[in-house]
Amino acid sequence: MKLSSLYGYWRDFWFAPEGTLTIGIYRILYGILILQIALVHLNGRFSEWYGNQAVIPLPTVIKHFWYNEPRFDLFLLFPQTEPTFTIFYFVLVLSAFCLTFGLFSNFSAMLVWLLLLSMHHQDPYNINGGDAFLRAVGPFLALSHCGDHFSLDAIIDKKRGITRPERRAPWAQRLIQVQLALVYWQTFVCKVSGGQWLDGTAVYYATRLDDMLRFPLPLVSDYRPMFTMATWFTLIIEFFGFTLIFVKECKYFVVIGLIALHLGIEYMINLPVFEWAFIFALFTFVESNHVQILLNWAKSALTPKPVLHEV
Amino acid sequence: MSEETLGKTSRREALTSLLIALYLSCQIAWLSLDSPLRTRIVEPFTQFWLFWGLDQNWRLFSPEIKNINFHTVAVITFEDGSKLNWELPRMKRLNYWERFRDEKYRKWCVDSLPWPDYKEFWPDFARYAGRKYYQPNNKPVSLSLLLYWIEIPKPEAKIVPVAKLPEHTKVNTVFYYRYKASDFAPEVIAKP
Repeated sequence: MKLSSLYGYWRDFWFAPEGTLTIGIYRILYGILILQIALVHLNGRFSEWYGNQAVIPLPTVIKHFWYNEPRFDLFLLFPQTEPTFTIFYFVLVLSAFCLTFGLFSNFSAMLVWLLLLSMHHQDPYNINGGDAFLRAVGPFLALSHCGDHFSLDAIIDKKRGITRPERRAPWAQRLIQVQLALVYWQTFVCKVSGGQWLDGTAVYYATRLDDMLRFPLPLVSDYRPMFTMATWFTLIIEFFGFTLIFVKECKYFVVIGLIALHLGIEYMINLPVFEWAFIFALFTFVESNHVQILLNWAKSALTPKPVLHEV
Repeated sequence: MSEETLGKTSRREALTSLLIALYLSCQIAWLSLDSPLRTRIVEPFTQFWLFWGLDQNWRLFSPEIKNINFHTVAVITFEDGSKLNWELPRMKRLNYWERFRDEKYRKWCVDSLPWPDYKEFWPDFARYAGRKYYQPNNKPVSLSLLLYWIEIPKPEAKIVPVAKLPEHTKVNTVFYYRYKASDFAPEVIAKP
């Protein structure tokens, strides 16, 4: 192998033009999760977490979490009063709607990310891994061509006679994929350094944390062969999540396996946002031409067929 | 191979490549297991990484999963000696919708509040609870945060079904806070 061919692989991976249907759909899914956070988890409680009435006031966070060092926080640019935080909440909701519907898609994505970043810096104690993942991929979505399809931006451009290229360099979408792989890599490395994952009892314990229980699944949680297999399946599929997922011939099998893992966790364990943040990110591995085939199929299935009457 | 489909490398592409390579190198170093080498590598960019919220940690459920179940209760004692038990939102006692909606409370009350890593925030929590249950004629005097817990039975001996998990019967006092007059100063209490 030559260095030039390595560089060729690098260029192909990041820059060989691809369709933008996938990232367009991911934008909608990401926007829905942000709306869920804003409208379900924070609605009516924003001031409990952020602002003067917060459980943990900002000076304490600055001292003990920021270590008196600078952090990005949009809230600090404005007076620390109740109206400021109310306005910020509505800006979050509005920008999430704009992102979902694809109005000023890139700007909306960037604004959503900066607001998430500010919120996570103001109160880092109420966010789970799903929130953290949305923050991690936010800038990549903002830098992608996420407004090319299924967006008001695309409709407006069409009316103005502006045509967008069908295929573009997918490096920002690839960064979302790589970010997801980094998650599986770190969690895999940490898991194999612990005894419960290797001896097959991790799922036994995970399904018995009573503050997280959702629906019981005794077939998995109460039978040793089943929870042992589920534990080892988790390790194996997470290993594939940063290795085989980048091999064209294998990636859809890995994606299906990982979706099955996340859906299983979603059924048994109550961790809102978390599982769907990863399931939606797995969608970025679906190639645009396959999305197009799916859309064509859905379109033909939904179009009423002409009925022939015998005369 | 690539030049056939992509043409020559543009300046913009080269710069993007450089930034991607730099970002990924830093992120991989950040996510690596703790070691003196890792510390030396991440030290120069830690400030920048934290400022932009690029720090990450995906150690959920690893390396070990908690082997206890627990919940927290704040006990507020008032001037007349009466006590108020405030059980912080306990997921087990909520319905499916409430559990879904109150995830941020679970994260705060269960994963953060009772643990020593977060002890700097305990006085603020006590003051918050004091304001929440403030009565002008019978002011809060002190707050104790209690942790009720129980071990999850080990699977080696006998598998206890999820439906028959034991109640949280052991208790520890996590911290005790004695309120000061300044905690209930008019400008503090006047806040809505």
